Amino acid sequence: MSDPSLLVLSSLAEGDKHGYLIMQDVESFAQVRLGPGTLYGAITRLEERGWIRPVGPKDRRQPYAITAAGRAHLQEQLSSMQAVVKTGLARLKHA
Amino acid sequence: MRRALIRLYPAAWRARYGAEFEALLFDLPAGWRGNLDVFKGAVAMRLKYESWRGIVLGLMLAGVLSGLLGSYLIPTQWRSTAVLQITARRMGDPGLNEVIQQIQSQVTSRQSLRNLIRDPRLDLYPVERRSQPLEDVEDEMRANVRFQIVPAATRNGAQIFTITFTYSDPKKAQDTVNGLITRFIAESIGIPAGFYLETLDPPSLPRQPYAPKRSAFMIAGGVGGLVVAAFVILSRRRRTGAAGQGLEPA
Repeated sequence: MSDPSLLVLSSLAEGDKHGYLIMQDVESFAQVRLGPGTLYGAITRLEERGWIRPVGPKDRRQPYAITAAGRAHLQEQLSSMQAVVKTGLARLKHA
Repeated sequence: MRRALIRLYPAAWRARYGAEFEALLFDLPAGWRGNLDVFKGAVAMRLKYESWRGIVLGLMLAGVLSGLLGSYLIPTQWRSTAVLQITARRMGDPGLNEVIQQIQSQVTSRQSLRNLIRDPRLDLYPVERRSQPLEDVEDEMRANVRFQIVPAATRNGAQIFTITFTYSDPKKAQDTVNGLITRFIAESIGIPAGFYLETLDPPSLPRQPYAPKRSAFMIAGGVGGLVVAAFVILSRRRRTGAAGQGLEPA
């Protein structure tokens, strides 16, 4: 999985984080190093779609939280990916 | 450097995310990968939020600059030209145009060009000769040699024509045209019809490059930028038609 938006949503599914923590978290669970421009491109898109929102006092390090719509979208995307992974692995096993 | 990169983002985006983005950049170690990623992000946000006029101007400017830079990747070519006049000794001899064409085919024959290419004073196409068969190099040279009759310059049994050669070195281009004239004279000895040959303008030493035409590259780049801008604006309209935007375009 290398879609920055899904990586950010997956990171925020664990709890609220600001940009630097999201980058560190994504690198630890997905081994993907998001660049700052890529990260904020994803944050911009996700906030526009209402899938994340800024939380806490307005600070230079702005934390974000996943919304209910964001959780639903992430759930839908991951389930779809899980089905593909399950099918692919089963076919590899029987090949 | 980082502040300069942030300023590449649209003002509307900076008003919303600028402070936190700057804080993130100052938390990260400096490096060209990060800077490149910020630059790419700025381009993406410009394409997303810039007004259509800004997109057209920005992409056309980028196209013009790319065309200019691209033109410097193409080797410079220089063209030397000599102007000659051929005059029939007797009226009623075969047409001078036919004589010029007959001698031209001998001057640009494989053997004749091979002798010029291998002439140690000229030493033409040294790089190409190392990597290509000599026949291909001869064909390349033939494409760069041009005999051209000046149509409006026929009077009193005389015909004016030009010999040009285009090459990567201006002095060698001039020397090669000299060599072509010498061969033209040598080959003309075998022609039964008598005529005089006179050099009106000796081979020029080119001062300005003949190619690449940088202005043409810049115009092509600008047109390319305009086409890309049209695609970007259309695809953005399609997207914003499907979903609303969070930030107002600048």
